[in-house]
Amino acid sequence: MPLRANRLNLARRYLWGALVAALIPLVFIAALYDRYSADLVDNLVTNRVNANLEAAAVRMSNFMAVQVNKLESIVDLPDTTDFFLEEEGSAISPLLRDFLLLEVESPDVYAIELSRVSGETVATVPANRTREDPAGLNTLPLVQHGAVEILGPVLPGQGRPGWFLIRMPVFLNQQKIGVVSLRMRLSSLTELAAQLVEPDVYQPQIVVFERVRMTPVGTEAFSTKELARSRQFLPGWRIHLVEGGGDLEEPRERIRFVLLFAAVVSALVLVALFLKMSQRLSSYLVPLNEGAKAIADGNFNVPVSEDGPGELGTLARSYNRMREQLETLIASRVEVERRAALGGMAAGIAHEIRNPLATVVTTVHGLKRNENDPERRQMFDVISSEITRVDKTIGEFLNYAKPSPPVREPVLIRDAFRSIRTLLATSAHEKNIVIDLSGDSSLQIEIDPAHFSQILLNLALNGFDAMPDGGHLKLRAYRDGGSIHVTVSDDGSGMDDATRERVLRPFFTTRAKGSGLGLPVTKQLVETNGGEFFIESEAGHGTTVTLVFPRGSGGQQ
Amino acid sequence: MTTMCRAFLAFFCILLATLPVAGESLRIKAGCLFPLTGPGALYGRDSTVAIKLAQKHLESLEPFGYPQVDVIVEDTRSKSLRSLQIARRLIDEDRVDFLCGVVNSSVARAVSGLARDEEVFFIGTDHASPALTSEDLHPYYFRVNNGTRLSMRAGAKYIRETYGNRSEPVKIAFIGPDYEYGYQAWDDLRRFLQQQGTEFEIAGEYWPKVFETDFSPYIQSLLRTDADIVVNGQWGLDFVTFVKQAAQLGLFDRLQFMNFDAGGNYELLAELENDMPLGLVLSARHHVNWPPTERNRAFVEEFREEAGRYPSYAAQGAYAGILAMAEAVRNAGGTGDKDRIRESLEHLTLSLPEDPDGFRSKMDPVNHQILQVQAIGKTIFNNSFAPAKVMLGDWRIYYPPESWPTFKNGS
Repeated sequence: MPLRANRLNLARRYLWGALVAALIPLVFIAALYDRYSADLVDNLVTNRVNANLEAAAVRMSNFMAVQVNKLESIVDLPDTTDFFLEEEGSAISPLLRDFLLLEVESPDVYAIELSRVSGETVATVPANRTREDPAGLNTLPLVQHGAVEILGPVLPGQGRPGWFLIRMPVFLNQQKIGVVSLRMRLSSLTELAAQLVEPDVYQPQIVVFERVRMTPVGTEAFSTKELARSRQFLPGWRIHLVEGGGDLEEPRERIRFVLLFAAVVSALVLVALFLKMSQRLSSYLVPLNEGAKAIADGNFNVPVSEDGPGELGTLARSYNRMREQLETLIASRVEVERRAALGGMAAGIAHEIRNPLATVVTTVHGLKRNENDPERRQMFDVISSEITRVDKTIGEFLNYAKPSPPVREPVLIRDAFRSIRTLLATSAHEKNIVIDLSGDSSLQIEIDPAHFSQILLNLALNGFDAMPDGGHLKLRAYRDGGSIHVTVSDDGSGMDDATRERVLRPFFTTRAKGSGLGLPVTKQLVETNGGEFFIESEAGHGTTVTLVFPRGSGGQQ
Repeated sequence: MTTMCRAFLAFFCILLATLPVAGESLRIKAGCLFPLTGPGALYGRDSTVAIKLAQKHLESLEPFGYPQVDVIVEDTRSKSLRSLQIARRLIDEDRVDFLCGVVNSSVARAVSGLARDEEVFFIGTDHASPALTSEDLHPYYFRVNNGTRLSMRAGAKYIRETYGNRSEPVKIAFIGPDYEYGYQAWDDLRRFLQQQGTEFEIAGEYWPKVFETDFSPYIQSLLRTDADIVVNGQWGLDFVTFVKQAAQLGLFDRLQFMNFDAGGNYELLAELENDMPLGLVLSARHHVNWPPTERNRAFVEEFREEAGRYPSYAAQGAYAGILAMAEAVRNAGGTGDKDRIRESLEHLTLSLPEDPDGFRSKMDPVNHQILQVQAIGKTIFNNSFAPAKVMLGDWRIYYPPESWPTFKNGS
């Protein structure tokens, strides 16, 4: 049964419930986190980077718009129109040349080219930056963007950087008379995507018609896994976000593994912790449970350990106190009922036995007085003495059942001790018993003197009975704190534990002629006078009875 | 007797004609263009200090018939059109005999074109693109600072000496400023490597613009290459910014970094202080701690007394420019005959602070490029030239060839 109780006790059930409640969120969070980290790059790209990607595309659109605006300013100059109307081989006007020089001071523009409608470049500013056309010029991407054409890009190579052309025709009377081109630094455009670089995670590529790919520094890039793409900032020109080349998978898998491992370890630790807690809690609760069951079965002798933590310790202490109080309460209740029964019986005995006995004694006395036969007179004496003995026993019993209320007065203990010694001196001498009085001679207590004498006499006679072969009887009085102790001890036969437990029960006696009422009456007299009665005994070594009277109520010297 | 008297008179007259008349010293008017504000301004300011030192030096040589040079310094702000307009005014209004200076090669090409058209001598002192002494070359252009071509020639030799014995080709990535100077530097390095028979592969070419502020996309790209060496062609603030950002991104732990033309400039060492990594292979057109000659030490110290700081290489160029003008005019006997001045410039030799003992800087008569010794070093701790904490050391010295090297295509 204890095992079963152990298995199903409430603490365990609650703890298991709490464990499950703790594990469910743990598993839930671990699963969520795992899912999140598994899709980390995708989530990052989707949620955080798309806006940046579009912002970079807008920057590039704006950059191109500024360049187109610059180009328009050149195309709209009268000197530009004049230049194309001049004969072939004529020089650029100083004003136009200075204006163009000013424009190419921007690091974004390598050169400005003035070309015939046929495509022939007739002037380049600055002059030392004439274009070296790459092989495959005719296959370069060419797109129309509003009023301008964009040719390129030409990727860097042969020790020269990459470039692209923005071309705008010059019209006169709706007739195309020439073309002005800005030869642009390619990196000035691609660098606008550099902010998107997240080393080893992802990087941007500027992609033209899916066939030319460039890094943010304008060098050639290679096709790799695309994560996102911007809108077109020029026809056919986009920014792609691609994987950054760093091996993300390995650390990502490692992180996932570590996280899952940590989650499992946490769960195991949690289970172990809960098991331990459950065992500990059970070790306090199970004895309490068993103790409660013992009380229910009427056994008040099952104490529980009080060293439990917190409320459990308090509960155990309360339980023990409850058990003791319950035991005392029940014992006193039984005593009260027993006394009530004895009282009723005593009244009956007094009426139904003592009265007839008095009649018998009177009758026997009358018969004896008229009797001359000595033998019969002796028989009458025997009857009288036996009736006297019965009457005495009945008297003791009545004393026990309905003790007379004490009339307390200060009694000098020393005097009481001496009276007893005097009274028992002859008997002691006969039995070879030494009576020894000791203690504080000045002590006195508040007690009924007759009761006190009877108490001491009963205890001394009991001591005599315990020492058939002689011995020592010691009477001692001393003060201990607020109490006055009176002890009566002998070094006689003593009692075993079983005897000692029963010795205070009425009618229990170990002597053939004992009434079994001596000690119960004595104890009752002590308690009636406000004292406490303790008996200690060890078989073969003697017995000590200690009476404790309070100093205040019991008087003082 | 009469004959003798006539002969003596004739000799005396010739002597009078060839010697400057006492108290009537020859003066040259020069207009120098430098950036004095904005990016590269330090080069202009250092050049201006060096011009003063050169003028002082010429004063001490006046008794020996050296002409004095009056210099007008103008601020170009590194802008081509502004430079052109200033140069025109110097020619038309100030009537200068010489144009000089110019830091940026693009600006120099524009000014050189004007000098050609106006037939005014232009003495280049600080720009380095070989285009000016090859495809743009004209009779009125001369350059008195070492050009990129000789730096790259020295650099190619350095690479060969360091990596030439490997079984596999050395992988080189190049990053340089996106204009002629950068293009020419890379062209020349490749050509010299090929000429030497050094096996190499190009691991990448990158062209960030001048005065870029964020090189990180380029540095990331360099880190993704499998290059052994990254050759850097940047100068000035670009170099400083690049080095700082590259150090943060760990570029110097991965690749051997080299800059043969301008990276070892004192100005950059001073600017970077402790941020300058150790073990970089750098050079410059002049070093404050090389050659270890009395003349160089004196020049550096004199400059420091005048300016309160050590000189960048621009100072040496400007110093050489003023001395070159004086030497040429002295040899030509005046500023009037341009052909004689040109001839004098074409055969010019100068003893400059940057020349090691036993060597004189010498003009190539065909390409009008001065030929000087190039010293390449590695960055090491050296506190002797504060505020720089790291200087060049562990030098390797490369003497110039007899004549300026040209390539098959005429460049």
